[in-house]
Parts: sequence; structure tokens; C-alpha cells
Amino acid sequence: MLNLLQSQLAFYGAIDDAVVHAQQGGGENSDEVLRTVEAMLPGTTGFGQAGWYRELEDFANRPGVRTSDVPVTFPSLTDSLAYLAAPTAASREQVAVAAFQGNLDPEREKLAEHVSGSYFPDGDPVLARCAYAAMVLEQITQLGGLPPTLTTHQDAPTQIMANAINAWGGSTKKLTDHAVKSNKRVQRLLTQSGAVHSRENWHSLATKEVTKKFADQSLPCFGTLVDVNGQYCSTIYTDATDDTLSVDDIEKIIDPTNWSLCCKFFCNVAAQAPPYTARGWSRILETIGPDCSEWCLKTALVFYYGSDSGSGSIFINYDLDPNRQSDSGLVEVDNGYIWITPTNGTDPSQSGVQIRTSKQERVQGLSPTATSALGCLLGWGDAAYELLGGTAKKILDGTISANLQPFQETPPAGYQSQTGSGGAQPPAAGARPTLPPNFADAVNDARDLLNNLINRTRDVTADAANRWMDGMTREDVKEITEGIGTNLEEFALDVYQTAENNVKPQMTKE
Amino acid sequence: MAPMDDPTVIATRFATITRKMVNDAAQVAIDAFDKINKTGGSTYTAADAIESMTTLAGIAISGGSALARIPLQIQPDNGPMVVADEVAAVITLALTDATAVARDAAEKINDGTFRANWVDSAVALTGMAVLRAAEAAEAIGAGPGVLGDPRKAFPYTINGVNLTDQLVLKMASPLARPDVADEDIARLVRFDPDGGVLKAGRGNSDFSLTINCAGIPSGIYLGQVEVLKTDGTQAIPPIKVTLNL
Repeated sequence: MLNLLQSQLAFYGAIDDAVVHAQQGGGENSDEVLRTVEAMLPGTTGFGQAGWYRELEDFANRPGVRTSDVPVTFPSLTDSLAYLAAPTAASREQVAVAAFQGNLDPEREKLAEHVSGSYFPDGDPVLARCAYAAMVLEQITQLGGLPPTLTTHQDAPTQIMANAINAWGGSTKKLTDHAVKSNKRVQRLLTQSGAVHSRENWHSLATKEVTKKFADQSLPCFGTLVDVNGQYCSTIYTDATDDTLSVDDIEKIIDPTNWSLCCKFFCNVAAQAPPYTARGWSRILETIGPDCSEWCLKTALVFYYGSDSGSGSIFINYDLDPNRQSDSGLVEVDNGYIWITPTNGTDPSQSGVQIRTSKQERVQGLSPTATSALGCLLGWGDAAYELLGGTAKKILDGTISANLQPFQETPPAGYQSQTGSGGAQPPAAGARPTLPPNFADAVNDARDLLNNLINRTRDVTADAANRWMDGMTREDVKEITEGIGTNLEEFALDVYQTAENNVKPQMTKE
Repeated sequence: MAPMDDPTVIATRFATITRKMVNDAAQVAIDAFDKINKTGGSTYTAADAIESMTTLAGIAISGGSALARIPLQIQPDNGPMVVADEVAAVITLALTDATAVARDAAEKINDGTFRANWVDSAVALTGMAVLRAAEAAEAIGAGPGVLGDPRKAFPYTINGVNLTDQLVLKMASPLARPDVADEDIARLVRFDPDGGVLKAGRGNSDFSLTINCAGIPSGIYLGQVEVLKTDGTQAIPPIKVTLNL
């Protein structure tokens, strides 16, 4: 069901749609649109990068990810604009139900945003990121780059910017159309967006017009590729500060089992059974998604909680649980840290805190760009930002009643009696279909042959390329290429023959 | 015509080949579906299944080989070679997935729960091909340009030592995330100044340690730097280091 995270994603999805449109040569200034978006959202406009929004929608419908009976459809820009403009829990739910266009299960658990007193918008980083999307959309609009499906939304940047800033400031009052259009600050932010050529430009502008905290939170992080054990992972770093909270404050809420109270992307984070590894790391099952009754990922993780009394800091390390109990089996890499340090000396009780995070992630079948969207736009990778938001502060000051799990250093006392040798093996990804008898042997052989082939091709290619650099002619290269081709064909025939030899052409029937 | 080493031409060629792999793989599933869902009953046989698999293998082979050839046709540099390497890794992963599916089927056959569920098979296999091809396309598109710099540097200042003494820095083992069995990345540490030697008569006692953290899990790593005199004895107690990698 429609919510703030999905609405924010729809705004960035509109940018992605414009990029795809520009890549196809659409719009008046397609090259300029691509340059602008790449500067504002690095790594989102290249080959294999643009189109991440629809890729994510496909991913949400994969077996093992989708949890609803009906196909997941990401919200329209119209619905998302209406949702952002809804100032109260009741009105947000009304918009969400209308967008759903169906009968909702009355037993369905409501999102915090739809329950009065459970969500406070002030300082919500999702709203700040909405404003950033508005600025980029405004630039695209000014360049005439909106795709035909969005040309009726010329005023979308104004609506997004006005409502996002209004709510980020803590207001629960609905803005009138007049207030949206006549807000001087919104006008200044949008009219000056044409002069924003970098993320730094925007940060300066947003700091001047709103606050530094707003500017900090508005910049979506972006992933860089890092090679981990032969696989390229998306890696996200974040760095946030707050002058009003202390390390001791954050310590009260930092345990991951508390995150679902204030971080919208974390539907449930719960201890596994047994709760500890043999070395005392906490075993936790993380269930994430913008609305887990529609789609979600379950990942079994292990957490280490540490501290450094010398610097007054605390930290959390996490990694995949070697025993992937109750796990979706789709996350191939997920590790990182959350490091909380005081900004004023080494006293953790003093106000002023810095939270630095890192997250390496790789999801099977999901491109690094779409994976980064999960981390940077939906909040998988920067939950720390939401720990500094209004809802977290209301939990800390007791306005929202919650039974917080305290920070307990690893290994906790007596953990040895609560460890186990493990349960199920890691599940295979997605569905578990069936194949003909003995086909496993055939595929095993084919795999070995093909691995050999691929490695051989790569090595031969590298060798040939090196020789070319030493002065080979193009004719030499052509001959080498043809030789490799012949070699490949022979290998391919071997693969086919091996497969056929291994398969018994009978099917086992019930 | 654009020159042969125009990156756009290269990228387009990669994309064209990969797209063909995706389309070809999808057609295999479509053909299988047509036979399975044929009015009057499925006509999809074991022979058809073999054909589907070999066709998919053929797509991977021809597509993979075509991709691997591209670096030969252009000015070689590290970029395309890194990309070719990643594409090879992605295809290898796809084959590993296919093996897992086949092994699962074999287990079901052994325990008597096998069912001729060819739709699931076709969908799963094609899904793998398409998804892995998408990863390949991503690697090609991203290329090495957005690779993060894996080197991280951490500056320190040594207090309480005499600038006239030569000192030698040594990363003590282990440097590891706490309570991770058998983890030690101390050997990855490099010092600046070179070799961790702080010469006598220097202007200050600053140093930095650098780690190439490619291939290691992200986390907070704890360790100690030993500050030794030239005779190997400790000049001061070891310096605790907390590294966010």
C-alpha cells in the first residue's frame, strides 16, 4: 500500500524514466538531461544503470520477494504527490486506500505513518530526499526532458518541494494550492536549481534556504562498486551528525531489533533461535521492504556490539549469518558497520554525535544501481539517518511508548548456553523447480567445460591483447580472433555432446 | 564511422550482444511455454527439455565468446579487460545456479517427489539467464569508471617520543573485526613513510597506515601498531587503532 518511502521512490523513478527517455534521444536536450542527472545522481545514467526503477519493480514481483497475492505495482506520480501532500495519519491512509483501489484486509497491520501518534515527520530524511528529487525534476523540466507520460506534471517539482519542506519542519497542516505556489523559499530553491551543477552546489543552497541538517540528509548516497571475493558489490558509505543527541542517546536505540520502530524500511528485525553464534555474535533475521505485506527480503545476519571507552564510541559490525535460517536466500553479500562517536571530546553523555556507516551489498539478479536504490533511497544502507529523525527522538523522550532492546556488548554474559550447531542449510534462491533424471550430471559436466572455456578465452584474449600492444597488426588480431572462435565452437560441441551423453531421455512420472 | 576504440561503440557492442543473449534465452522459455500449455495437453517432452537446456548453454557460449572477443577489437587497456573478467564471472555464476537447480531435481527424483513441472523449470532457468545477463549488462555499463578506490588511509601522530630517535612501526597481529575466528589483515597494512621507518631528525612523528581493502568485508577492525626502537624494543606502548573499512 502506498506510503512515504514508495512515494519518494516514485519521484526518483520519474527521474529514471526521464533518463531512459533521454537515452532514446527523446526530449529537447537529451544530452544535457543525461549530464545533469549523472552529476546529481552519479552512476544512474549509463548503460545498464538507467531503468533501475522498473528493474526494481520486476524484482519486487520475483518469487521469494513478493508476499502479496496480486502483482506489485509501484505507485503513480499522481498518487505519490497526493500522499506527500496528506498531512495527517488519517489523510495519508485515505490516500493510500484510494490508490490501492481494492478492499484491504482489516487485519492487515498498519504502517506507522497511518497510525496517529506513531510517526513524526520532523527531520525525516525521506522528506529531505524528496526535496532533492524535486530539484532534479525541476532541472529536467526546464530542459524539456520530461517523457510524454509525465508532461502533465510540470508543477510536480513545486508540489514536492513545498510539501516536503513543510512536513520536514514538523508541520501537520495541509498546504493550500496557493501556499504551495506562493512559498518564497520554495520558489527560490527551484528558480536557482538551474544554477545547481553539482551536489555541493545544492548542499550550499539547501543549507542557506533551510538548514545544514536538511541539506545533509537531502543528498542521497550512491553506491560504488567494490570487488568482494570475485563479485562486484555495491558499497555505500554514510556520515551524519547531530548536535542535540549524544552517543548515550543513540546507544539506547541502536540495537537493530529497535530499528523497525523508527526506520520505515525495516519491517521486522528479530532475534533468531538460537540467539547467538559460537563466538557470541547475535543472530538476527532482518525483514526489509517499503511495505512487507507486498514485497520483502529476509536476510539472516549476525551482529557484534562493541565499544571503545577511550574514545567514548560504540560500534556495530554485521555480516551474513553462515547459517541462513529463515532467509530469502537472495542476498549474496551484506556486511558493514555502524560507528557512533562523540563530536565534543570523549564523553558519550555530551550532546554531539557522529554516525558513520558502511554497507557492502549484493542481491542475486539485481544490478548494483538498483541495489543502491534499496540502500540509499529506501534506507537499507542509511538507517542511521532515521535514528536522528523526529520519530526516533519521540521514542527516546518517551512520547512514543516502546520497549527498547538495550545495547549489550558482545559477547553477552552466559551466551554459551544459547548457541546451537545450526539448523537448516542456506536455501537456494527463488523457486525450486524440477528437471529430468540425471540432468544434474549433465549440467555439472557442462558447467565444468564452460568454466574452462570462459577462463581459457579470457586468458587467450589477455595474451593476445598484450601482444597487440607490442606491435601486432590488425590482421594478426583478426587471425587470433578467428582461431579463438574455432576453439570455442569445438568446446561448445563438446558441451552439447557431454550433456546428451549424460541424460536419460525418460521422465519419471507419478 | 566512429573509430574502433570509441568507448560508445564498445559499450554499444557489449549491450547489443548481451541484449541478444537475453532475447534468445527468453525465446527458449516462450517456446517451452507454448508446448506445455498447448490446447489438448502438453507436448513438451524430455527431448524438448534437453533442447531447451542445450540452447540456453549455446546462448551463454556464443554470447560469452562474443563478449570476450571485443577487447581484441579495441585499444586494450585495463578497463575492457576488467569488464571482460566480470562478465566471465557472471556467466560462471549463472552456470552454478543452473547446477543447483539440477541437483535439487536429482534429490527430488531420489526421494520420489519428482514431478514433471516443466513450467517452473523453464521459468527458473530462463529467469537465471535473464537476470545474470542483466548483471553482465550492468558490469559492462558501469565498467571500471565507478569502481570505488579500495585504498583507505588513516593518519596518526605519535606522542612521547624523541624526534632524534629512529623508530620503526610494525602492525601487530591480529588486525581484525573483534571475535571473528582466524581473521587477520595485518599483512595488508602499508605505512607512510615507507616501511614504517621514522628517521632520526624528522620534523614530526606523524605517520599514516594505508590498507587496500578490496576483497575484505566492511567492518570496524581493531588492532595495534607497535613503535619500536632500532634494537627492536618498544619505544612506547603500542598504539591502538580502530579502522572503519
